[in-house]
Amino acid sequence: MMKLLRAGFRRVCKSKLPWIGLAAAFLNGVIMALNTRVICDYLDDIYLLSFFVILSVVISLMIGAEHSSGALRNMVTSGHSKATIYFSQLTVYLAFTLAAGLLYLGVFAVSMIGYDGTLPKGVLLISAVGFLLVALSYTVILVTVALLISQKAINAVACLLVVMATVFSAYALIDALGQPKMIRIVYDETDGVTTDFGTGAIEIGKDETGDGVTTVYEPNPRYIGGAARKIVEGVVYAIPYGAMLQYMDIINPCFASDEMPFTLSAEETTQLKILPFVSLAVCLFVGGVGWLCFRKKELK
Amino acid sequence: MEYVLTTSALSKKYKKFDALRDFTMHIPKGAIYGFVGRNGAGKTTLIRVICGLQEPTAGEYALYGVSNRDGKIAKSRRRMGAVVETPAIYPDMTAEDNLKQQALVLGLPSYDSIPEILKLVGLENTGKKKARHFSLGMKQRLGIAVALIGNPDFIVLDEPINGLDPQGIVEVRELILKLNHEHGITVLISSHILGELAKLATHYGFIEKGHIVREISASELDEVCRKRIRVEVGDTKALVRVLDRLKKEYEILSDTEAYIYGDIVLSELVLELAKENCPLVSSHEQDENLETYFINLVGGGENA
Repeated sequence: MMKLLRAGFRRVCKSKLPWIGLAAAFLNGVIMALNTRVICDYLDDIYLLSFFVILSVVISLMIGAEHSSGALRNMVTSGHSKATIYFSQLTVYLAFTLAAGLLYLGVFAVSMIGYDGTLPKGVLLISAVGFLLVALSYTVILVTVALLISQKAINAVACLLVVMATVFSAYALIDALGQPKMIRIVYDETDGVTTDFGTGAIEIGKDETGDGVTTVYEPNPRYIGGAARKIVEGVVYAIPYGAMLQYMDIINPCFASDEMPFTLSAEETTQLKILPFVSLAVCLFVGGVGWLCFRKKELK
Repeated sequence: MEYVLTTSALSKKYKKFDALRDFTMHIPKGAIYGFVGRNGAGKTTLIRVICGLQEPTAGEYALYGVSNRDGKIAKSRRRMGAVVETPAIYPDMTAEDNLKQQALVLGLPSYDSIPEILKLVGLENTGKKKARHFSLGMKQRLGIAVALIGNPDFIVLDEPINGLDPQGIVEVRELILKLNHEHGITVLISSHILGELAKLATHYGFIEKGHIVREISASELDEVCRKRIRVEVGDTKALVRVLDRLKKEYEILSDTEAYIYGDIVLSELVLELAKENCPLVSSHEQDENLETYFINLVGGGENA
């Protein structure tokens, strides 16, 4: 595997695209830092999404080129096993992602010099490590998809769609989890008749015109509770973009106001503890499944 | 005889289509083995299978005596180089860079052999020119150079002269002959351009519909394709006496038919047969070459 790693790193260093990707990551970090610290006082996830799109473009096009040039085919003909090829490609692009992620975070870290807000540096550090782990889990997914698809153009589109799918699914599931437990239904009382509405809290009052108003709170049918809630939360943590949104929810309020007291709820404390491990688990799981699939793939 | 590659009842099936069926071949060490077949006959499929790019559905093959089912096949594969369909080269790299890249893949300790290989394939003066700007012939030769960097003693070339201009064809042909004659490299070359193969191959394998129809050496093929006349006479015993008198080489097929090899003046034959009271019923001249031999072998001769 060392042979393929040396060849892989040489290939990445000699190509222009990864360097363009690093430059784009740096620029993205600069813009994000400016936006967060100077313009909006808000950490906008669009800049983090941009980072993952950069990863998608670099990985899909580089591995697509390995397919189209016959390099992967050559590695097999030269006597390397599919496992060695898969894990060497994975290692090379994980290293690239780490470099890009550190560059990206490095810019943000520079922008945080002089920050005297209430956000603990420890929380910020955990979130930074968490972001890197999310980026690594994206890399494992993207490398697997790219190695399994031989056509360069389809490869590029598929990787981009994977990133977008994680964004949409994360937002959809977080929205679903955000549904309130109870919903409020308001009924006007007419002709003096009072209706018994059964279960739920009942409030009787008058509106601004003096008409009788009855407000009923009933359980929200869209609320996800119990075991299902735990499962959906787990899925959100497993989706890389979902995990990243959780980190942002924790640290974002303190950018809005440097004086806002930072409080970490029990749930947020738990999240900070388990999110990194979930990202690691995703890396290992997808890596394992990816290897099994690549082993069966016939290279052309 | 020592064989570099043997296959035994090798089969490859894609859903309902048999790309290879009960495929058995033998490539002797030191040979230039011409692998002949029509488009879609299964040539590239076989090459992909023996290069490890695809798994066979049934049967097995052995490279230097090591079966594909043995875990050590990867080690045997390091003794071979291959150009499968298109040359495996990075278009954004120079010739030298491509070879350095392959040297790293193979784990070679140094790049010392690169200048020699570039000279061998005639690409020593390409300098900083990127491979995407090479002609097709140059790309093919670079692909062969990449296959040679690991110092293999067996190389597989899948239709290496497809799309080349006449000069490119000559360059590739001369390179293959040099590799075989001067460096002792065994070559498996697949092609449907029979005229070129006839100038190169020492052995032939004919494939049709995924099945090897015949394996034959070049000398045996020459023997089969010798110029000859098929004659039908009243009595071949009389014919034998006449041909012995005329000192002609012949082969008796039946009581009334025979092959006569070499040139013969038919009028002289008829007069001599007449002395023996033996009529000449019919004569057909046969002058086979690789092309006609192949067509007759796989069918289609009735359309010629």
